[in-house]
Amino acid sequence: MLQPFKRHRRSGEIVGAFTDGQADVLRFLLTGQLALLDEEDPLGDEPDSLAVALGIADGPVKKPDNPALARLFPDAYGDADEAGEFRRLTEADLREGKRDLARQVLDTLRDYHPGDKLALDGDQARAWLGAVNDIRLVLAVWLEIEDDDDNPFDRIREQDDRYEIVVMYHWLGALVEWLVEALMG
Amino acid sequence: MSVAPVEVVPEATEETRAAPVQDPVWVTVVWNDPVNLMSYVTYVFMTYFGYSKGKAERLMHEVHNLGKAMVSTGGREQMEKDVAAMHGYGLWATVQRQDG
Repeated sequence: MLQPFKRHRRSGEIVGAFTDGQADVLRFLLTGQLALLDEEDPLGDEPDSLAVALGIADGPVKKPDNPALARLFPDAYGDADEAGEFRRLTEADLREGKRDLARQVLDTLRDYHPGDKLALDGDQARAWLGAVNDIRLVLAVWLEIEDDDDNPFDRIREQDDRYEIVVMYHWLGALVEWLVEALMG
Repeated sequence: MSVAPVEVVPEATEETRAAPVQDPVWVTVVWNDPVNLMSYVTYVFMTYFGYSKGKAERLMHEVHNLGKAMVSTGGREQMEKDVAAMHGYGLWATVQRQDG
C-alpha cells in the first residue's frame, strides 16, 4: 500500500514511499507522457536549431489532432486566428515545460528502491504534482471522462481493456490530493 | 472538477488584479473540467496568483458551480501570460475582452 506523501516537520521535505509496482507504473506513465509530448511537435523532430537557440522559432498554429495533446494545449481564444497566434508563441514553451516536469520526476525515481522513503524538496514536489496532474488529464481523455458526475469505475468493468487505466487514474488522483496537502500544509 | 472538499465560507476581501483604467481590460477565464481536483485548482490559484485560501476557494467554487470564473483582469499581454501559466498547470483557460 502506498504511503501518502507527508511533509516532514523538521526538514520541510515531502516524503513518500512506493512499492516496486507503483514506481514501475509511474516510470511507464512518465515515459509515455514524454513520447506524447514529442508527437505533432514541429520543433521536436528536426528543429531549426539556430532559430530555437535564438528563441525565434515558430511554434504550431493549429490545435493538435491527438485529443490528449489538444487537452494539454487548449485554444486560448474563441477566435481561430487569435488562438493560432497565441499557440504559435506559447505551445513550444508549454511543451518544454511539461517535458521538464516529467523528466524531473523520472530523475527522482532513477535510483529509487521499492519501500525506501522518497524525500522531495519543494521544487521536486511541485514537479511531481504538475507531471502527475498532466498524466491524469491525458488518461481522462482516453477514458472519455466528460462530466463531473462521471465515475469511470461505474461503466468500465474489470474485464474491460481500459480497466487498468481507470485504476491508475484514481491512484494518480490520490497522489495529487496528497501532494497538494503536503505542499499547502 | 471532482472530489468535493469541506465547504469553506469565502472571504470577499481582495479584488482581482486591477489594471490602469485607461487600458482596455482583458480577463483570464478558467473553465470547469471534470478532471482537475478542487483542491488542485485552489492550490493553483493560491500559488500562481498569490490569492488567499478564501479567495482561491471562492473562485474554484465559481468555476465548479457556474462552469467558469474570471480569475484575473488586466492588460492583454498579462492575461496571455496568465492563460499560458494556467495551461502549464493543466487548467483550461481563455483570454477574453472584459465586455465580450
